[in-house]
Amino acid sequence: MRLFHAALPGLAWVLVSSCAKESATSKGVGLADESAARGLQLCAPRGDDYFMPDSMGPGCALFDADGDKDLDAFFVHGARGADKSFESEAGRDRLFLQGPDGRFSDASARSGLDDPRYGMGAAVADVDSDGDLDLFVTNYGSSRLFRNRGDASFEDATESAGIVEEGWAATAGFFDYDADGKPDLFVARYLELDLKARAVGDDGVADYLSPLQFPGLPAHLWHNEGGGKFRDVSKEAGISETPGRGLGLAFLDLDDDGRIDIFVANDSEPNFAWVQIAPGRFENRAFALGLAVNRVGRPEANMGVALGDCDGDGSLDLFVTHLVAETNILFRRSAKGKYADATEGTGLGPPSLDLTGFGTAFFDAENDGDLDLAVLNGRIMRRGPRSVAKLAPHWQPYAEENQLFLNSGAGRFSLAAAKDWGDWTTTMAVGRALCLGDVDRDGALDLLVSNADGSSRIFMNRSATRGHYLSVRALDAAGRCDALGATIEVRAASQRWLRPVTTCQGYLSAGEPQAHFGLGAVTSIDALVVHWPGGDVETFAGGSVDRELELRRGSGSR
Amino acid sequence: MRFGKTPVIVTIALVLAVAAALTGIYKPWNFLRYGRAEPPLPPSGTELEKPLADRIEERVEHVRAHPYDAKVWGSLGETYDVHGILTEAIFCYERAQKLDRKDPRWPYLLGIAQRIGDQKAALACFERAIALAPDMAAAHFYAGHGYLQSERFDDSQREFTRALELAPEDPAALIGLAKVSLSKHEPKLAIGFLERAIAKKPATREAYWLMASAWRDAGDEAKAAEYSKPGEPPPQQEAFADQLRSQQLGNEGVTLRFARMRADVLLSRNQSEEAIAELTHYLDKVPKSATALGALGDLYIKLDRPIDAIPRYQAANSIDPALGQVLSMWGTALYRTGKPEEGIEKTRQAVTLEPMDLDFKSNLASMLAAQGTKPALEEALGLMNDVTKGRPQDPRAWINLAQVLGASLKADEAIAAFQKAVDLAPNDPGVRHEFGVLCARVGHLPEAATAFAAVVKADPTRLEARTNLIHALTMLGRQTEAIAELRGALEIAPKNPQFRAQLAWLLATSKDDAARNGPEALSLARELVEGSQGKNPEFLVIQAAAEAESGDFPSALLSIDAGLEILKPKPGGDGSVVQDPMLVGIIDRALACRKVFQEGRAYRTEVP
Repeated sequence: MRLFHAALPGLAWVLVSSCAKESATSKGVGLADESAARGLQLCAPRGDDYFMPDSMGPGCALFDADGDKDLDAFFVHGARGADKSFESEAGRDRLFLQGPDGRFSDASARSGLDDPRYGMGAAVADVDSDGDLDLFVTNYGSSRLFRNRGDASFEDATESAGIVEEGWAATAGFFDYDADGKPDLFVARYLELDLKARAVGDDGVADYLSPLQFPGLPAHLWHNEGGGKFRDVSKEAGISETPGRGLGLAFLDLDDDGRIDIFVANDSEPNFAWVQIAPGRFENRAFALGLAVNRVGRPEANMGVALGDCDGDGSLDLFVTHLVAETNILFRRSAKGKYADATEGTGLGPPSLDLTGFGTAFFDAENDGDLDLAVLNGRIMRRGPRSVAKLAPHWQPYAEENQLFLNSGAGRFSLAAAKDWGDWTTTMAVGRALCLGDVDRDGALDLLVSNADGSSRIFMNRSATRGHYLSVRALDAAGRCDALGATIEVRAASQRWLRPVTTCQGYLSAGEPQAHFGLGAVTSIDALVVHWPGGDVETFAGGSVDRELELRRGSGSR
Repeated sequence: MRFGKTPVIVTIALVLAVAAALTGIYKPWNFLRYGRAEPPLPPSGTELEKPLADRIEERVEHVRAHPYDAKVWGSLGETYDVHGILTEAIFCYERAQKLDRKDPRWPYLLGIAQRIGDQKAALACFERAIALAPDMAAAHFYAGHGYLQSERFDDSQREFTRALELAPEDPAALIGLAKVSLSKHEPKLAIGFLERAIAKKPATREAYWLMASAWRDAGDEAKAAEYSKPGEPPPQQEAFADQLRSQQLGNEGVTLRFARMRADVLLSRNQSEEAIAELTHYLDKVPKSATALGALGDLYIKLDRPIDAIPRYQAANSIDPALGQVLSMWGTALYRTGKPEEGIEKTRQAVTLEPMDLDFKSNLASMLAAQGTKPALEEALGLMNDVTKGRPQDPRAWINLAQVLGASLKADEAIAAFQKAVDLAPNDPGVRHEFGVLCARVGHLPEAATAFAAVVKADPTRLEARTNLIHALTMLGRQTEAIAELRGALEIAPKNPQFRAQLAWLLATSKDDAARNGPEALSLARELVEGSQGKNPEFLVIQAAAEAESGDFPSALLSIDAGLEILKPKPGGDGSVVQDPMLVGIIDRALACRKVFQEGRAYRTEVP
């Protein structure tokens, strides 16, 4: 150790200076890769034998695991053992706790989250209403629910909760569909993989399998019964008989009836829009709503989902990432209550044609009041050699650049320049899951990423120009549980901003439940309006900006 | 004259010297002009089939011998391209294009190779190809697609239109134009193009799929539903008829994969001998390929010629005895040629060789179950339990288990297993229908009716399921529902005499007062009798029942007697009197009718 420090004194200095506070040297470089400095430049190797699940995950989560009010990082890890078993040392999930200096330290072993099962994604919510965030991990195999004891130590509560989730689960998310104040669980499931299927063509060129040759699986809906128990209500909800290759996920009220609905992005199949037509009863109305296929009526390889009001019209839009040779799609809400592929002219389509998008998120990168868009890319079909530093040779041909699209303010986007947005736009990786959170509590959202090669990165928001902000949490009357599925509207003079309350971040990932508002030059807001799950609407008094707010149900005016 | 020869000699010498100099500088000149390039080799780690490796080696040598010949580079590119080795193909096409800037093939093929991964470059290539060959329909088509994806709809429309001019009524070009129209929010225009595509090629699924989309965009959900059923898998994109690419695939596809692919295409066109010739031709080149022999055997199985498959599997097995798939298929072939014991033996060998292979186990279980002996059924049950454990989400595995359980006379367990299959494949009408049949066979009629009803709901045109549903409902005494189903069936098959007869009978004899309708029954029955020229006794009995229901007992008795006259036993050739056993039921029914008609009552169908 002594020799190490002696040989690399510069490294030690960089670590200290960039983590102790916002690094002056990184100011103005947009989304700066501070993974090494923060202790999150991980690489847990994954298989190189073209096992299909290796190419689809893994996921990650940013949430406060230890109750100290800062965000911690959880990384799902899927790796098979040397004997191809689905439980292995190599496949253990990991939890990193953020310390006061902004560095993350590995707390996996004592957290109880170091599960050896083959992991895919993560979902976060306080399932037992005890004031801390619990974790659901989707696996290729048996997915698990981990209950937080409040101190970043977790117990596997899958059996006691009554959850039996087998097969290939992809993105899961918590939302309160019946507005009973308890988060329910939706699990989008991918496909029925034939483990014998060959990954090598007759021409000898190996690659990952195509999903087209495997049937999809129906999703599962688990109702939170209280007392830490869940009940499988998939059948009575009407979703159990419709299989699909589900990957991405979002929760929103699609038909303005106050009930929360579900959007599922299906790989190479029409998407599902599970509209809650009666309490607890869902019907797939994707075609009728205009969310099933692209503008020319074709289904595409739908992967990740971003949810947000990107054009500021007061309704939530959906952005879905796709395979190479397909454009990513923006489904925009029309005045008639339907959605339409409105990608044309937004600047989001053509730049995605040559890339394969996975995790994606709307966020206000500059806090200027409109939602920008981050897209993680990474191939699933190998195409020509690429030399990418820091990537194992197996993964190099799959690496692609990330993208950041900046919003002009009216829902038109342009690709962010590398000179302004730095590491995010220049990093070549096999990107998969993406989650947002204000890691350093400076009022700007940062991005945590996990890649298919098992590596992870954290990109801290160091944008040169930054407006005012508000971070708002919508809680139940007791102030314990987040109202997952609510929307919050901030009003200031003639301006309105709408954000969803959700921890589900679209593709195998979960983030903090706060709704983040970039406000530009606005220094004072008039009011906040919360549309609670179930349809109730409450208005809360406004006030100053650049702060974190908690809104409790029942304490506003109706 | 002697003196005069000198200039001639000098001229000749000069010409020779210039020619020699030109020849000498030819290569350096090309080098200066085009630079030097080594032909690319396949990426390391690529395991190539021998014919492909030989082809590549031969073409690489050819390039080395003629490094400035565009065609030679292009040929190497084609070999790589067709076998999915695209980076190397792109390099070769780029070189070919550089060496010969007038040949439209190279930019076109370069565009095709770059379509996935570099759309912008691909589009530029198609534009170059079009500039060189304005009549190249495929280049226009792919340019149309490129523009469409780049949101340049007018350019896209122009290119698809040109492609359509060059390839009149090509369905893919019409579909392309429909996509442009949909992108421009002109669904009615799209419908017009799609109607033309369907008229040209009624089997094009993509056109039907897009038609649904277009009608939806036009605000007509009912019309949309006519073209796309819920849960229907999305279709492949309609391929443009591209002669150059087809030719390329034919010339360059030298691997077993391509031989198989071509054989499958030929098979789909009912050109079975040509399909066999494809694989035989491959085997001429690689006679010791056990995989190819197995593939030929599989082809014979597909053609229902197991007897021809057997020697191929035998030969494949002698080359590579470790191929479980070959052993298993050999077993299937033997079984299907009436050698069950040998079939079971070979399949058992496959299971022993690859004990984790569930397909082999499933095959063996099916063969054993058909034996019907107790030990065979027990072994089959064990095997099928393994299969369902290994593939708990596979409905077919549960169906097979159910069938083995059914053969083992374990009705309740069979139904439970089948129910599992239905739960796993709730949208598969075939599975539900099979479930219904199993339930009916073991006497679980309500469950059978539910299963058949689900199939009919999912696909109202499935008459087999409708027939079974009507039968089950009738057996259960649910006559009103049976009548409703019969009416539904007649909407789809209005001339079906069986449905008409059943409907007439129930309308005349149902125990449910609200369901009966004498006049309608009579009208239907008379049509049936007339249609059969009064020779069908069953129709006469139905007419009698309808007449009785209408209160006309004299006519009813006349009709019934006419029917009984036809039903009278006929003397056989040896003078004995025989009764057709199929007619016994009708006679019983006719006699029962006659009895109540004589008492001035109409007949009522009893619940069986």
